[in-house]
Amino acid sequence: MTVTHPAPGLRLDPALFEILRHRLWYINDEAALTISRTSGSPVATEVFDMNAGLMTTGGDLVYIDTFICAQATTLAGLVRYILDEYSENPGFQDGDIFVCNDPYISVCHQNCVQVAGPVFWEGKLVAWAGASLHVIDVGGPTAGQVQVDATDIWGEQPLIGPIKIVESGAFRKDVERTYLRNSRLPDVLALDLRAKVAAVQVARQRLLETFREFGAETVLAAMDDVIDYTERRLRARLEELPDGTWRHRGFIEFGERIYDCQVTMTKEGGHLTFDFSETADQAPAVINCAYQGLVGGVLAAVMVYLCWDIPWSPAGVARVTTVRSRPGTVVHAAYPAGVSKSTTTAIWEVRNLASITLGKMLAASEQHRDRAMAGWQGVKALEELFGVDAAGRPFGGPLLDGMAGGGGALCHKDGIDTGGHTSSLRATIANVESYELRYPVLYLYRKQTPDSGGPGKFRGGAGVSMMYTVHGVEEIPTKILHTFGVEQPESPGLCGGYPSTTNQFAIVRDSDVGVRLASGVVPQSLEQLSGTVEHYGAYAVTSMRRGDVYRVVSQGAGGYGDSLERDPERVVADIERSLVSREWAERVYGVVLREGANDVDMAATAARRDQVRQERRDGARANGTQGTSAGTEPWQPERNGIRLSEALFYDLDAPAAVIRCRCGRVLGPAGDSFKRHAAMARFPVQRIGPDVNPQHVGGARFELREFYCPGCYTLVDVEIARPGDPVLDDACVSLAWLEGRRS
Amino acid sequence: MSYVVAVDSGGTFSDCVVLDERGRATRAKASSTPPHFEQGVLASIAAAAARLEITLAELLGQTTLFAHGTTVATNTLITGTGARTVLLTTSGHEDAILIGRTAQKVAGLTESEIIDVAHLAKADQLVPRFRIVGIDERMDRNGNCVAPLQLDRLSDLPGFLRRQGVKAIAISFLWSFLNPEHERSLHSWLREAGGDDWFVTTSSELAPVIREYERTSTTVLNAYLSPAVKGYLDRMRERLREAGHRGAVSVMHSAGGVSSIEEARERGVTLLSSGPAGGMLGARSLARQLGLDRVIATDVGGTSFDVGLVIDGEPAYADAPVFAQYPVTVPVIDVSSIGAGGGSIAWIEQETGILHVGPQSAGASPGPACYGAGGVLPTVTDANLVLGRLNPDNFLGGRMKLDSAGARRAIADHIAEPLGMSPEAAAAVVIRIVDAHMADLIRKVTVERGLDPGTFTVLSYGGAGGLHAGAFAAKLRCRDVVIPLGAAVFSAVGIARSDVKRVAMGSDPMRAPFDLAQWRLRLQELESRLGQQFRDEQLPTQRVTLRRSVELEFRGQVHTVRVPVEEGDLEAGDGGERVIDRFTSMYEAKYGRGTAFRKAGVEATTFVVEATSALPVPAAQSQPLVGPDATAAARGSRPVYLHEAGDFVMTPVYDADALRPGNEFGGPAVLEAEDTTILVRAGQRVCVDGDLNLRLEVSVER
Repeated sequence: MTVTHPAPGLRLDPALFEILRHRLWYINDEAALTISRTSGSPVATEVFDMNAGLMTTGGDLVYIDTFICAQATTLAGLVRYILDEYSENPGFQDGDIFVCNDPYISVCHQNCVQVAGPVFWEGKLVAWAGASLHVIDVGGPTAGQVQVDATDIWGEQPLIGPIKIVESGAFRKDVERTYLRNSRLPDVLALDLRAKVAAVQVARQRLLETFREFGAETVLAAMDDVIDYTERRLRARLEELPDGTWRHRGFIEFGERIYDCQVTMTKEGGHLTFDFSETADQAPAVINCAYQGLVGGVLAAVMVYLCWDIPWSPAGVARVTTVRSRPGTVVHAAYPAGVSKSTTTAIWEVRNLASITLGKMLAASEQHRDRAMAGWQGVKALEELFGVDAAGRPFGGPLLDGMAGGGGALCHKDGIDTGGHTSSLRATIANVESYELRYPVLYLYRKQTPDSGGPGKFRGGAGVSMMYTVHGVEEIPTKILHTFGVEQPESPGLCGGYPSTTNQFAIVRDSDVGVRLASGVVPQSLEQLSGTVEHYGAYAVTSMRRGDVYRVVSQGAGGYGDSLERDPERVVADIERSLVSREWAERVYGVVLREGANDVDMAATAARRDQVRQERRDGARANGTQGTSAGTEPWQPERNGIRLSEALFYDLDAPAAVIRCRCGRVLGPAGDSFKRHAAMARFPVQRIGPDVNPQHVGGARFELREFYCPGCYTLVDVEIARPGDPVLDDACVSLAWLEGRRS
Repeated sequence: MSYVVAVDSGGTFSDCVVLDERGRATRAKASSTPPHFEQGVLASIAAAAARLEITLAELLGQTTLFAHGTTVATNTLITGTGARTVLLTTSGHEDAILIGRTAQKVAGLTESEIIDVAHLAKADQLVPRFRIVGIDERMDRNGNCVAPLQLDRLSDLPGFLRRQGVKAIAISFLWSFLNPEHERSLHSWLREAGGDDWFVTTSSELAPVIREYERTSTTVLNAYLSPAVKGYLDRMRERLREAGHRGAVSVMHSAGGVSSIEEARERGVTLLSSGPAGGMLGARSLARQLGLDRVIATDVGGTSFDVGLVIDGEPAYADAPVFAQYPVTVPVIDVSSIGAGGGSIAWIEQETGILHVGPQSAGASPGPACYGAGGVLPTVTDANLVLGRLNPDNFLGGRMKLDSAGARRAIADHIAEPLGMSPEAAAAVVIRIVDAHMADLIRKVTVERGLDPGTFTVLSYGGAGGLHAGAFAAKLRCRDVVIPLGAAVFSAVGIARSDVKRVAMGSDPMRAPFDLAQWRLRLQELESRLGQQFRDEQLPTQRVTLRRSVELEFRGQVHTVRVPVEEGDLEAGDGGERVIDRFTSMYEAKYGRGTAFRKAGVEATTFVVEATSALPVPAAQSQPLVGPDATAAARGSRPVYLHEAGDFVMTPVYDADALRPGNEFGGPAVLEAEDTTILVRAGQRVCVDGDLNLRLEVSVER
């Protein structure tokens, strides 16, 4: 039976509301799908790096679709700008559409070009429809999105608009020419522009049909109801969760510099506050994001983690979410800071941080801990190719296979292998045949990477890796590699689960791949090939010639809980599925198999797991951080405790509330971060798996900190930090809220 | 006399309809007999023969066409009992079907399911990773061989296949749709190595279209399903032959047409929606006949509840058909299903004490408790019986006596006592829940797509439809319900009246200006392939109609527009300009003025030829209306529990088969046909039209 939620105060009766809220969602969905159907670039047609949004007259987003969230949440900025600045001059009327790629007004970065147009009914403005798509090239010194050496926005792509590009239903040739003139691929850009215009026209047409069918007042009431309903439901959801403060820190490596990004998330009653003000000052480079991108990243995380049965109405979500930041930082850049790479740096990092703090909060909720996900893929490894094909025609664009990241693990199941990422639930990766049809490459493999999912009681989803060679041309003259999370894993685990692998780029120069193929062998690793291997950091501009072979590894997802608690049979199943190697099964899961068979050696497994626990004790002793020596007494956390995480609880029976491990050991007083009272050991990041910065790119600029219960040495948290960084105070459920539970 | 016989074999019943030369229909039903469905099929034909008062041999001996819809493929997929399958694919691409382009996790899901992120998961693996074998070989995007396939290096493969106990092999190589050489030579090499031990299917033959994930997924499903389909169809043909049938056999496929048994047994994947497609074709012709432009077609059987839409006379096709989260590249009529039907089991969840109905079904065996065939668990049919909505002495025309005491006991033991209520009250709740499930599914295919169900007519068929349609229609604010004549065998009638239909496709990406001679060559290849298939069919097809088209796109697009190609276009010598003009106007009609951009370049991807041919099946005549008075069909009254009254109410009973065109009366009433029962609720009205369809007028529930 349908679960019906109380929805007091709606303008419409519940049955009509239900029909219209779905109708509005479908209108916007049809608009978004129109982009993918009419665009000519695989970015939209196969990868769905796009989105659409439906807005009220004031630019409040009623709905965005389940494609790239931030591409649509930022549409509100565009419409508000048009309303505030252009209402009088040049004004707007029925059939007009504006285009914009200015990140300081709306878009995430200059290549996510947006359009928006007003919808009129009987001469009156009734709504706005908008569409956004990542386009391949809008000009600038470097082809594609990443303006290699830019130190500010003046070294990046030209900024366009907001400017009226369709007037009363007809394209303005002068404006379109100006827009296309900067691009290296103007025909592709023109078709992409038409795709977005088609999306707005389809949304407009469908909306007008709905106005005719249900009456204008009813449909407008439904739009307002969707926003109000979302707000109310999300407030009610927040009321179910514990009050408290959670923190997380992440890093963007860029050349020699490392930029710290940090969030403090506070939940109080029915409201969330994300404070990013402790984030590093903005970079003299392309990795920053402007304010709209910051807000978009936060809203995306809130919807994915908390709105599992609540409409994705950004305007409603925004009413219960406050974002604090400091202008002039990496996540809130001040003009003229460069932002052309923001979608794969600062905005991702914002979403990572917001997501994992929400995950930690959910893990502290007895009611909703089954929804607490470890970090999904922290960032994808990306590249762009440009050149001229065998027939003399220019080609260019990103290969987005890296998007097949892992899904975060939960307290009851593994993350989804090659599950994508949360910012776009319906994103796909293109078929190999689709890429080979458009770009002069030949794939040697595309596979799920073994040992790439973050280990834990439940494993993070595996990431993807691939290898290809140049095919059909002598040279691909421009190849841009870009990501972060090369030196340190960006997909955090939860409740003691480990993060995933790191991103890696390598090229073998002048290999024997052609000879090998001709002999009927498809090489399956770099090691099988002759030639010189070059490894790259987070960011490189290079080229490839015939005979060169490129390999990329893209991150998986974070694990959940202590990997020593993983059911050995699950580890065996992973080995059979080529997702975990025997070597790492033993090293990180402590699971030992019998020689030559896929059977668990139970005795050897128990011994190995004891050995790992001893290593933990030794590590903590060597580090001088063995935690408190308070007593251990048996108790029943499920009966007497208030949950903090998988293994830690608050014990309210004591006169002053304390944090206790489920084993009975008291860590310290409630109100403190458990980390202050846990045992801690420090390791190189390579401890997690074979694909965690195996080439030691950048040396050892990061370390892995493991936090244990000082009694049973269960792993309760993992922190990535620079060696000198203080331990991050984290996970403090509010004392007042705990007191409220006492009764 | 010659006959056309059609049987729709579902999870619980096999429904049979026999049409004679004058279009007169004889209906019969028999219990389904999974996994040996053929026994139930034969039993249903025998039951029809008995009604015609001839022997089975006499009936089948005079049957020119046996048309069949079968649930065997669906059943195999749902129960996970497909063949042990190996996938052989290009080295390095073994994981393609597991990666599933990452979107496998959301394939086929609705908005509300997608945003429930913590519950997303990839598909259950039909082929485990260790049975996916990479084969060293490679073609490139021009169909040129880059790495030769060296069969002499595969000497370990047959041993591996035997050790694994493999029954089916899917072969899917990159770019095989352009150059099938490697797939073909591996296929014949395996035939030499293994003879008929393995069912082998290649992607280049089954689905020769670009995009390896979708092609591989289709091929794997075909390998997984076909051995079961083949075994079943072979057994059934054998049984038909033994019973005296010498005529043609056709099988309903998901695209809404029939194919020969020879074709169907090699292409199990095309039968995944076989039965429901028959119902949808029946719904299409009824909607056209009655002039209904928006129809919700609903089928309540013993096991499942199926819903599809017919809008403006055409059933909706799935945009990108998905089964069990796997995409298939064959056309499929869009039908949604849940496990809710007469056989659905009512049960109480231990931990929470919550009463659930379905999705498990008691099926045909053991069946509901009231069948007295060993079933002890309470089902929806048992609840209907306890509530007086079914007549224990007039089920299947009285040939099957229902055990009222058994039904009551099952409800009492498993539901009523644990919940501390009377069996009647418990039965009423069971019905309320299953009605709500049905309304929910309809909401999903209408409301959740932004369609107002209140603007649709409900078409209700399937043996158990008549007891529930009045309730779910009222919940959905639908005012009109049509219960067709022979509702219980409606899908079988749809199958009998289907055309033979076949679609051949082949990808050959090229760029404008087009080489029209190459187009002609491609289209002719497809036509001769179809011609050969029609000759091999051994179906009594009449004139074959061919429709040629080409899928065009602007350079780089993936979503294509299928544009018809006429003979004159191929002779124009204009590089395809005429067709491109047609494409451009179709495109702008859909996406708005100015959205076409010819400068981007126009590409042709796939050539399509669709062949249809009617089968000689006679149609019945409408009858004149004789007036509203239905007293001739009245059969007294009995106490029936009515939800709208909340109690048992003395309710008039009618013999539905005795109702005449024009009869009209108000509810409450129970209409008993031989093979189905219809409940007209208080406040609803029913009238009988000239084709003996029941037209129900529903008062809307607020």
